[in-house]
Amino acid sequence: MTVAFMRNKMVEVEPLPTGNLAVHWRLSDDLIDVDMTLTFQLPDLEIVDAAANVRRSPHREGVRAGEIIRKMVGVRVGGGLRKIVRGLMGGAAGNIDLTEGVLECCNAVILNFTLPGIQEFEKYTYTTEEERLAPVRAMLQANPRLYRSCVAFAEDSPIVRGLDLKGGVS
Amino acid sequence: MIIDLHVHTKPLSPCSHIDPLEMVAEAKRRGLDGVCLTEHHALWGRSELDELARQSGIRIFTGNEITTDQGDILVFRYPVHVPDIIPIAELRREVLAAGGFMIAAHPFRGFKVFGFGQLRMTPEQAAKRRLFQLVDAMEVCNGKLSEEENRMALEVSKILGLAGTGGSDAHQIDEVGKWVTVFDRDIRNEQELVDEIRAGRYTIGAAPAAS
Amino acid sequence: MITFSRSQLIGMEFLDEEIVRIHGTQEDHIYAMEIEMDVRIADGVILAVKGLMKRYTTPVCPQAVERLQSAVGMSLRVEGWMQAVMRDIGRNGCEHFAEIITECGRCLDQARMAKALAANLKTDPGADPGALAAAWLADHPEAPGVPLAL
Repeated sequence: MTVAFMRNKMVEVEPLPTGNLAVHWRLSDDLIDVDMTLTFQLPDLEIVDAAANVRRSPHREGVRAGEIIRKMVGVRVGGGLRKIVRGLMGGAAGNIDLTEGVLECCNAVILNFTLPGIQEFEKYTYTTEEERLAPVRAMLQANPRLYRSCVAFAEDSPIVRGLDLKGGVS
Repeated sequence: MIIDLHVHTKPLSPCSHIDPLEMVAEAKRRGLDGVCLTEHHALWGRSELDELARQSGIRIFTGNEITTDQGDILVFRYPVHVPDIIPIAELRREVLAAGGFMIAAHPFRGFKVFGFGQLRMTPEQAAKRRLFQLVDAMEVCNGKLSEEENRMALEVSKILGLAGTGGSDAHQIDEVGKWVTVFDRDIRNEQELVDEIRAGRYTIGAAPAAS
Repeated sequence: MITFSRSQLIGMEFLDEEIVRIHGTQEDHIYAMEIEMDVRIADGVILAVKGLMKRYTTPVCPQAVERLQSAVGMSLRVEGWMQAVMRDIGRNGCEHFAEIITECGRCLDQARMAKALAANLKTDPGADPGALAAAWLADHPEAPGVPLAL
């Protein structure tokens, strides 16, 4: 059966010569085509520039995207990010795709910095399951927010088994 | 007097898994003398707090965790319901006018698998955040943060001469008391709580081990 | 040079007037996964879901595939559905499966509108897509959060 609707989304992180990170995001589907570029200043991961452009939309007011996205300048990638972005972009009454696009850009920045740690794992060779779990356990101990964040770090996960992560002094 | 200054309970904080009665029982079991309920954008009623305190035998204080454009802020002595995100400058004006007190919550909370250390941010750079000019204190020991993130907060608080506090930020029952603020004096209400933080008559530690 | 990128691809098949089958794929420098789910158009309820985890970071991650079944019965239209997906599928299973389901859910009513607009433009190629979109939205108040419309 043919599809009645297709959506393509892409987000890319590009380090700039200034030391900042440019994040390019694009959404294209049967109805709309919009892109945005957010520039993040390091080391604080603050959004210092934000631009968006609607190429195609059946909605006449879609052209306001470029104006709305400017509200993101000054926001830092950090604690409470979802609440902050959704709040500043107007919440449920706001432009949901654009709001989620900002969060996807921020998430891409986070994953960009997560990637080297994951690549470190790949340097190890394993002969037993315990050896394979060891670096993941070390990552969990170094990053307590992973605990209970997904099935891999749930209380009953073999990764968590044997680790003292419940309460007490960290 | 041992107080956990940062605890969330359900249903007022929907992200919390802690029942209030269960929380106070656990706090008592862990040797705490009091807890401060800091729900997200939600306030406890005085009579409900008094009833909870009566049932538990420990002191119950109330604050509020409010999300601003510069991050989450623990607010004390400001009994106003703030339903949504608010610019920090606006919150600061209102809280000061009401005689309240603001603590930057978990100011260097990182992400699931990387922290600010990886960004090579120095405490001197971090201290320049506008946020710190608009609060009275900052959390330097938060139960959700890594040692590295808490250390960064402590160093920034020293650079700025800003008071540092400790709280668990508990959302699960076994997190209550992970970090606490140990006050030199007995504290009976939120005004005294704020006064003692301002005076610096406290240290930060962990809850005594439960027997 | 790019140091990280992620792509998502969502395709929607209308099996009949009542059910839409949604395929979602997400691939990035770290993870690769797919979701296929059948959704009842009238109320956005997930009727069936399958997942494929192709690239992941821990040996425990594939256990998230079976936990996907907790999505069956969830509605992609009720208030707070995205948070519910992130909590029930993300925290109890895998955040990246939750991301795909969320994107599929956001496409649900967009696909309905696109299908209606395509049908209208087929019979009247000169029609104004903006007017058609506005008319469709007025006729479908159940469609939540319309992108780029506000």
